[in-house]
Amino acid sequence: MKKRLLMLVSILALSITLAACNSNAKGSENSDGNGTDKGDGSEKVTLNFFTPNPDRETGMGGVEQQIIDSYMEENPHVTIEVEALQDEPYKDKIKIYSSTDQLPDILMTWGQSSFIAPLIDNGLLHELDSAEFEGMGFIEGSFDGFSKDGKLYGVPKNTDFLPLFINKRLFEENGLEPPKTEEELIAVSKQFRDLGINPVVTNGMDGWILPMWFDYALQRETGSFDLMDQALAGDASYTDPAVIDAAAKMKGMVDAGVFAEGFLTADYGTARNLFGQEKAAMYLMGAWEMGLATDENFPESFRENVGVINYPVTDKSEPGDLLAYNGAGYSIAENSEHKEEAVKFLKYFYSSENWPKLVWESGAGMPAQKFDLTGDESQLQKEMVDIFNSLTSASGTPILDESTPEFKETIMSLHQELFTGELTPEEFGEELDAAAQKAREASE
Amino acid sequence: MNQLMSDKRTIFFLVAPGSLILISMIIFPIGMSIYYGFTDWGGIGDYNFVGLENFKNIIFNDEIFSTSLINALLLTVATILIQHPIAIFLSILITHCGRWEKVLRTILFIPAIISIVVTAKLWASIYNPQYGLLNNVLESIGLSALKQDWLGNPDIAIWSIIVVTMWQGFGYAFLLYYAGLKGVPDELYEAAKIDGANPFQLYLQVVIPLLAPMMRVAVIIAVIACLKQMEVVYLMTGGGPGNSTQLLGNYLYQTAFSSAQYGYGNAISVLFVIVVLIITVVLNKFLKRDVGEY
Amino acid sequence: MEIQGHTNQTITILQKRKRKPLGVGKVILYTFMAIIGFLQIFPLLWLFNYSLLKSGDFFGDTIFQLPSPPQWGNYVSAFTQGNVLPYFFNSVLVTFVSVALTAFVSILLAYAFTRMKWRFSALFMNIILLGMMIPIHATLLPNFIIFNEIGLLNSYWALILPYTAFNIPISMFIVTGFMETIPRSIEEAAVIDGASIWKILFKIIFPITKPAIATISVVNFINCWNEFIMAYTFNTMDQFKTLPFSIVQFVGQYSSNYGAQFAVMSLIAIPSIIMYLIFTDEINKGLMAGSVKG
Repeated sequence: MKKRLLMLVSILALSITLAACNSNAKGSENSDGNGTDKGDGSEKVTLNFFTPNPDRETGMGGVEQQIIDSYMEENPHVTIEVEALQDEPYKDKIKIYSSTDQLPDILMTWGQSSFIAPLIDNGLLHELDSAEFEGMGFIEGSFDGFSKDGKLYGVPKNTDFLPLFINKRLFEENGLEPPKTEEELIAVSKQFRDLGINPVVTNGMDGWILPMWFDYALQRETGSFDLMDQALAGDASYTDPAVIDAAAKMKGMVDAGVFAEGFLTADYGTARNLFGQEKAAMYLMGAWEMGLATDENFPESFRENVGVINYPVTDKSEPGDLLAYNGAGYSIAENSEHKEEAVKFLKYFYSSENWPKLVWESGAGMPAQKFDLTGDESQLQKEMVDIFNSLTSASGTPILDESTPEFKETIMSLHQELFTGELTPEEFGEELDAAAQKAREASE
Repeated sequence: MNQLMSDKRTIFFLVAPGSLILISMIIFPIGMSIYYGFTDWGGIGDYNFVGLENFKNIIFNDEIFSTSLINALLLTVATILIQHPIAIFLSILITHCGRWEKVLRTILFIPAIISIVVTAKLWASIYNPQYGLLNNVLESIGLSALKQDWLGNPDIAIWSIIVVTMWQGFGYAFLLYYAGLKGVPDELYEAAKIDGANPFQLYLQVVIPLLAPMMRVAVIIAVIACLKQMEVVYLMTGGGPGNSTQLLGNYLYQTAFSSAQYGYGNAISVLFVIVVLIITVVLNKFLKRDVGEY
Repeated sequence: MEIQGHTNQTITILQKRKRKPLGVGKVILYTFMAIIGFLQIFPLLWLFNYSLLKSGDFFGDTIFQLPSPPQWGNYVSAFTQGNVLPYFFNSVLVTFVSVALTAFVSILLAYAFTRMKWRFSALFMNIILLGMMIPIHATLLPNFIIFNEIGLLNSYWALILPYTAFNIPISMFIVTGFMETIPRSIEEAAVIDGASIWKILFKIIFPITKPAIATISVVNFINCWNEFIMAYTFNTMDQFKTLPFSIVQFVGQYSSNYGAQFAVMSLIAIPSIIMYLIFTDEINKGLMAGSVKG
């Protein structure tokens, strides 16, 4: 009897604690609600900030947090609550938020149809005034992905492009030269293989890197990034001989062992660590991996020797033909109760002494704004700037993100099927056409 | 007694709390999910009713759905035909291990306790074609020819996944059979020995038939768990390469969330529940008849 | 009870056997079981081992290498960067309330289904058992919509209620099986003494049912403790996050701190293992009795 009583009492006690916690949460929400009646501007305001950078100490997340903290210090009436999840859970949660019209005040968006179009079309994002962000040195065209019908719904934060990272020490010690052409890439990969060193690593399991590579492969085949977009729009076809040739070439490179074994099941962390721990000579990944040179988790010999080169070319293309785009940025939710405060924060965030300066200095990425070189850049950062300055043509949004979310899923898995031999290059082209057709019908 | 046991008020208070939770947390949401299954909702904004369109497409045109279903069935059959006999065998052996019995029993259950995130990472490193244990072992015993990209080769990947799920779920199957064995009265062993039965006869003819009721429970639990399985695939291959390891749970999640076809995803989940339902009902009937009342 | 009698008897028989010198058969048996045991416990050793390695050691040629020196700093990082302590408290709270609530509700339901006489008993029980087959992902969005409407998002209840709901079917199933084995004569005597149903349930049935409760509680504990998808979805505020979130802090795209990642995983695994070790005997008793009836 006593025991039972004890158990009942403790359950009761727990329930009361729970109830108390709940009412506390409610209480604070209510006080946020009161903040809406705009008085002298010193009313307490809580802004919810949702980001896919869960690491709040270093990298992009660290810079975000640094700016948020200093903003809260300068504006004591504003509290910014951060919610952070990894990429994939982040995207899923955005879908859940949007289906219930509960988007957080400020959220990170990708300026790509597959992500932002459904949000804009359903009126979930607040229209921003581009004049507010004038004079902040945004790169020309960087607002395009975030705009629709001349209206702006987000502000880009990064310039992303796809180079090829290399481990110079592994090249030098084995007397090999970094590849300049696709043929050299195949040849040097074979030599690395013979030496028992992995040639190129990448995260084939996540799937998105593969169609980005396809963008390059096709561009190197035709000399321009246009065919890809035209085929998606229905003005050309993915059964075009150039596409088939590009697909066959990619399959040929995979078969020739350019990629490390198991690359189709390597996730982001595995690929990054294989390269960072000097187990692979090359790493196909976006420019946002500039932080490799300063990541303390990796040995010093790696950090001093990591370099980056343009993706190899053919005689039809220039090294400066880059798969480059302005991917990520921030938007404000239409249903936010504090839109003005959110805009104020974004203006602070993007001002030249904050985001563009800090993100560059931390080596976490390249901003979408003009920034000054400090002279303290790592070698890797300098090489990265050189590559970006070599730009002769840019792809814009990668193919996989230019259409519906369903198209994105399909094109990612089609690539895997091509590389495992389940699809021939011809079938690959046909399936792509079918997927593009379906996507066009869906968006009508 | 009878009157007390059929008192409506008491029954109501016994059943109400559980029913309330289940109705609000499972039945009502599933009702919503069925409703969305008849729409083309993408998760945001407006939607149209499309009648049975989603269901027709899934059954007649969706190759990934059939691949996932076949994979799920393969996993189920493999679990019952491979994992369960091993579990029975080990649970018999373990009863002969004297003072080590308890320690071993605990150890055998350990994989079932540890978070799937950990075991998925462990197996991914074992299978890794570059530094993985499996290929290293094969090479060191002179079987280099058998080396594989265990998760990257679409013909083998699903089997690699099956091994992981069988290993992870082994503890539960083992524990059920072990408990069943412990429930067999000792007199039976003694009686069989007096009759001059050798150990094999003892187990095959006397003990294992007595495990039949437990087998029914264990098999049904395993079937449901296998059909619902998704975490291993989600964490190890993402259903790839090229959907070759896709399972229903993962496909439903990908469609509803990543592909933003919420209506279609819900139609998958409705069909999914129906499939599980049919299989368990049939299995239950079949096993009951086969085993007989005990 | 009767069951305990059997186990005791088995133990005495086994103890008698133990005094004999080891035969060849026993040596083979022990070696074989030791290998099996090692295979099963390997992930645990691997996990703890890796939690003490430098991140750079992860990609060595061997899958198991002793840390030299052990990097206890990984655990420090886990505690400081992973917010382990507050999340640990939340996990404990959510898990214990869910487990207790599930046990309480399951006993009531099981009693209603095994003892009470009412018309829809069988139908009701089958409907609840259907709950086992529902994939969690089908209810994620509907539940988010519901929680949002009634203001439950960002509260402990947003996890406790669905966790309880998804654990009820299997728990009720196990408890029902156990209750079937309790002789009705016990209650008949109590009824003659004029006891009410509630008195019978809590003073007589509950103490006897303890092994079954221990079984379901440990299984539910492991489920709730490791659950992450609902935790990500229904909670956003730091104040309510549970332990699996700590892994997220480390598995992030821009983070390569594998050592700390494994330290967090070890910290998550330890409570599950302790729970299992404490209740291992009870679990077996619970399953055993359930098996008699099936």
